[in-house]
Amino acid sequence: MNDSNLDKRHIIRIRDMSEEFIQTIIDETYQIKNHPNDFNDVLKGKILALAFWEPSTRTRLSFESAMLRLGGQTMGFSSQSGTSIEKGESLSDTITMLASYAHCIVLRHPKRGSGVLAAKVADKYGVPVISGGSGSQEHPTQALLDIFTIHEYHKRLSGLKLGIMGDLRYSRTISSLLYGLSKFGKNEIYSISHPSLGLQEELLFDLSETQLEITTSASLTDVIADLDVLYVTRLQKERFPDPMLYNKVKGAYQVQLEMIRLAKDDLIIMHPLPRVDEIPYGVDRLPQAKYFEQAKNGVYTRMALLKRIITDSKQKARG
Amino acid sequence: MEELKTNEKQLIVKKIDNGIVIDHIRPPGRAFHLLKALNIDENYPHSVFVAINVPSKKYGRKDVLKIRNVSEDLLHQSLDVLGLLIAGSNIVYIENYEVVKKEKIKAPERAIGLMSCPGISCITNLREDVETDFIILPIQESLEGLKLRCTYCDKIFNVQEHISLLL
Ligand SMILES: [Zn+2]
Repeated sequence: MNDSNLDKRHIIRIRDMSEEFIQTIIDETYQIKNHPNDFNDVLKGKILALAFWEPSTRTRLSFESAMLRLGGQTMGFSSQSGTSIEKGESLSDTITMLASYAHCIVLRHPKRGSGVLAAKVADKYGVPVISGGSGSQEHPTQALLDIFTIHEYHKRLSGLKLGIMGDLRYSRTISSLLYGLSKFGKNEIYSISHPSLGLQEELLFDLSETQLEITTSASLTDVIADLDVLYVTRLQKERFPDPMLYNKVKGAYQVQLEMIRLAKDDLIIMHPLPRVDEIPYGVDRLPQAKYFEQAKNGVYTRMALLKRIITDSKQKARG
Repeated sequence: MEELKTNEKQLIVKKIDNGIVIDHIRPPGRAFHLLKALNIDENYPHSVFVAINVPSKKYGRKDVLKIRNVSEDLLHQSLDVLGLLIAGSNIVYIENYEVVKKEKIKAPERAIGLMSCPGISCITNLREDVETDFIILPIQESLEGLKLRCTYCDKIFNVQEHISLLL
């Protein structure tokens, strides 16, 4: 975040992470997934604050499960209602308060930059902050679990062909995934989206200096046969200026069962969930469907991250 | 038309005894923002000459600013904002009608607390106790203006297109 004097343990952006750090988390995630019982009490006596300004079922419960499996405890709030935030308390004040209650803070906030601000505030108290999503900007822990899942099935993080489809513009998941993959050398990305929902300019600007090759594709059918990974995100009606347009175009960004017949056997289909109708239920039964395994990996990845961040001494984690 | 040109020329060449001249200010109209950045208004105790829309061979139109007896302290406090607005231009220092020094205005490396963020979903636009913080992208100083990137929301924008956000 361009502030080298901040504690390196904050997990705010994948963009700031080194390849080595991501690799360390992947290695640790394998350890935990293979021997989950060896880690039952590594965070005994530690408290994780879950500060969710936006409702989120998956990310919050995944962090909660991860912390409990490590022997730690959680506290927090999962929406603004009924909290002092509803009364107008600022993010800075809320984080200041939580920093004196917990050993680590996970935050989800609708504004871009919220993670950076929270890290700056909590830094004064020596408490690390993990972003659980900051507006449309980044969702670093989602990207770590996505990268782990890709590695688990393909045993490599370069030389891959990835299709990304759906809402690429407002998807923090997509941004973080591409920042993450860009650290691992050459990969080919095929983006499939409505023109108004293409990748963010800032992301393209940053990625232009990496080895990631991005190609725009008109339809999934054009590229499906070549893909190693298909990453689908949900289209949201409210992102379209006109609901009619949404109804008209949404079919073009849905996976169809017959398309998968053209795909390679080792294609993996991913989705950050929740999905609506962009992946029909019939796809779930295909061997290529990995989104539920992906969600499960979220718990192991977050365990690896929490263990690393909370047990590490100050300034060491991101190396 | 010829006569008008002569008049404009006379206006520009009029010399000041002591103070500074900032020439080649672009785009036209920017001189008003510079005065604001320098905190100079009708309460300033000395003469200020503002020329807007002056024909320029090199740039088409430009502004020129001449400020009598300006203190270097005041000027240096505002150098970062001047750098955002007119990096590449010169401040010419005048003493007894003579040019004694020229200082090139450089783009700052960082713009902290100088302007609001144009990112509509940026946390710094909420009611938070936080100073905005932008890095200046390493693109050469040009007519088109500097590109800034918010260290909070990552938004990249051209400062010239968001002049009204200067604080
Ligand atoms: Zn911003």
